[in-house]
Amino acid sequence: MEQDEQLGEERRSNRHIPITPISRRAMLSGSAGAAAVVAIPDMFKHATSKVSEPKPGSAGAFFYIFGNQTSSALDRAVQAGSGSREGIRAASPHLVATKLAALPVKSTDGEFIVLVAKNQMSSSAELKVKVLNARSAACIAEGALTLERIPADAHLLVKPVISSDSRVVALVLSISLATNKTSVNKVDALTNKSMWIPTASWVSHHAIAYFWLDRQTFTGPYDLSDAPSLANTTAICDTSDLFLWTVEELAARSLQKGVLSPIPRLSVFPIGSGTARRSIPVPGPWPGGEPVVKLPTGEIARLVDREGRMQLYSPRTGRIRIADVSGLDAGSARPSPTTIAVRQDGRLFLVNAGFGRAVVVDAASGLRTVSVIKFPVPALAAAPPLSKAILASDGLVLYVTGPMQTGGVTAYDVATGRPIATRGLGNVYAGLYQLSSGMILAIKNSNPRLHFFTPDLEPIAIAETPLTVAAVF
Amino acid sequence: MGGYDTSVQLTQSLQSSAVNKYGTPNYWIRYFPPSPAATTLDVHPFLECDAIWDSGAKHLSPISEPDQTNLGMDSAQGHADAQTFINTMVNVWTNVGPLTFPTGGTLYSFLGQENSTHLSSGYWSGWASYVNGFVLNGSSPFFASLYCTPGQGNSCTVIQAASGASACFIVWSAEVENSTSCRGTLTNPPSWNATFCSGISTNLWQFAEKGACGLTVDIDMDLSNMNFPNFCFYLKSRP
Repeated sequence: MEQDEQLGEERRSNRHIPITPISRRAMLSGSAGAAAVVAIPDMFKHATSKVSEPKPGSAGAFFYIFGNQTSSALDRAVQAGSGSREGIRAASPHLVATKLAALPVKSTDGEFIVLVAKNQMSSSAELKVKVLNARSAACIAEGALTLERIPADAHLLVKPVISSDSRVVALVLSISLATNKTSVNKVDALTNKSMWIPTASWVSHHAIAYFWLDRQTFTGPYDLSDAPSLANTTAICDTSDLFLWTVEELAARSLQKGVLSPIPRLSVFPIGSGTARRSIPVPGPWPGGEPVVKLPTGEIARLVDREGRMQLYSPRTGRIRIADVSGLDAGSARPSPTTIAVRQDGRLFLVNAGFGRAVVVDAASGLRTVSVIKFPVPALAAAPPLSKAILASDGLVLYVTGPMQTGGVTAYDVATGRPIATRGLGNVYAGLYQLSSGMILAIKNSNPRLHFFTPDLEPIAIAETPLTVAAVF
Repeated sequence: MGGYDTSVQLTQSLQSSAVNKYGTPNYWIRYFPPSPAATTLDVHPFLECDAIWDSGAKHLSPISEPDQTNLGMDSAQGHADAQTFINTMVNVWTNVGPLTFPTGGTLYSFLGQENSTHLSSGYWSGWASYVNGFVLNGSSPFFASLYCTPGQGNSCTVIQAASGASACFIVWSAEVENSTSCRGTLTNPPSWNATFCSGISTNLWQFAEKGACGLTVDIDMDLSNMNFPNFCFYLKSRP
């Protein structure tokens, strides 16, 4: 249980350290030094109330880095940086929050970033939600919710989900309580060493709370009374409903051969309610990290295997169907996740870096695969940041991080599948993002970690961050 | 002794290809949920256990590789991921009749940490304490272990600091990522050269990435005096 929230610590000012633009030669050699970036620990509570307005003439949009540092002071931290060409050169990212309880969430339209922190006390817990204007990093809404009867040793897992019209943030809470505390003697048969360790029967259930952005108030929490369930869930919202996948905990039963397997359930809650208007069994994987998106058709798509099989739920009819996306059937010995994104043009973009495949799918024509682009398997294909390939907003160019042997970033012509440019050779990049300004951000695993390019892959600047980057928003 | 691991479904075609090209395994290491980056064994447990049996191996070792971003989160996420892992293992055990726990009572159960993934101490504590403390019919057969690249990132620091309920029992060392590494087979393995964290034994070594050579398996060996199959699920017969 995390007791080390830094919400109450003394706030220190953010500092921006200028970054020196670098020469293309230095950038391509990977040996250019970057100006030191000083990230000052700053508290979630007020960190973003200091508005960083975009400078005149800049695109204004900020980007947000989520990551960790080995030192606990920067665990699960977020930094914000200006994503414009001028902003990238002018200032390095600054710390916004630490000790988050969940991965940040970006709204469907990209306008908002949701941050959630928690603080567990002796018999209760407090959740704090902060919503930022993604363009300016200004706080536009915040609130706190106290959960009663949460013992200090409970595990409280929070999953924030923002409605597709950005009116409300649903918080799916998984609460695991220890019962029957005792100790058990374990004997490692390899070493014959024995040890007594504390143990308990853990019982998990779920609750939902809603944070309304306009009123900056909560409704709920609503206890779903679904114990014993597994704590992990999958969830997504559209404009009117919260869709929640859960599964009963098998191990809570009397265990013997032949016990029937639990089947996951999809429950549909009208936003604002703790009572499901529909709850149906949905065979398939137990919830726990599988991607889920809302299609332009209104259907909810859960990716149930990494080869492109989707479980589609129609909120209108309440029916479920299966659809297979073609082009992701390469396989790999090592794990490699398939990522999925819904683009502004309504198409789906799926990538499995370990397969060396990216697929563009027309969601409006029965999930027909429009393009399959093959590329060498990027370095660190299964490790965060999971974004290894990005499709330009016009859909014409695919950018991919290079393999371990060469590194770099390569741009491919989507129409032909041929590489058209490679930059940054010698730098092994772990992740790749296109900022809302159009600039390309490539992530390394050691400093200087942040390498910025134009859409033409011309180097702009490099910068340091103290965070091992897990994701960029 | 040696075996294979793979993140794809273990089919008859795959097992026979692996046996013919690289040798007969003593065990297979397969993914269990939550492993969104893999095809997990629980999807087709009977078919996979048949394939394990037909490959000449009778042993199954479990690994779970959650969304790697999770590994940087707190103990609540670690607890939740371990809960899913244990439940799916129990689910497979209850369904596959001939599948039994190791007679010695020790089933090493791996968390997958990819090279460069950040592992937080809170996550490990939540994950390992649930795995180590889980009691099944009066015994506690699950022993928290880690698949990682010792010497890279912070994995050693985290598991060296863990003890008691969150102890890490063994390490499975990953092959350093190199897509040209096709060396070695089960019948002609290299000398033991696994990396390790001081104070915690590396007992299993992924020494070859055959995925780079056209077949979707990696090859593993265990310490010669260990007899790793004794610490795996055991198939008494073909399901």
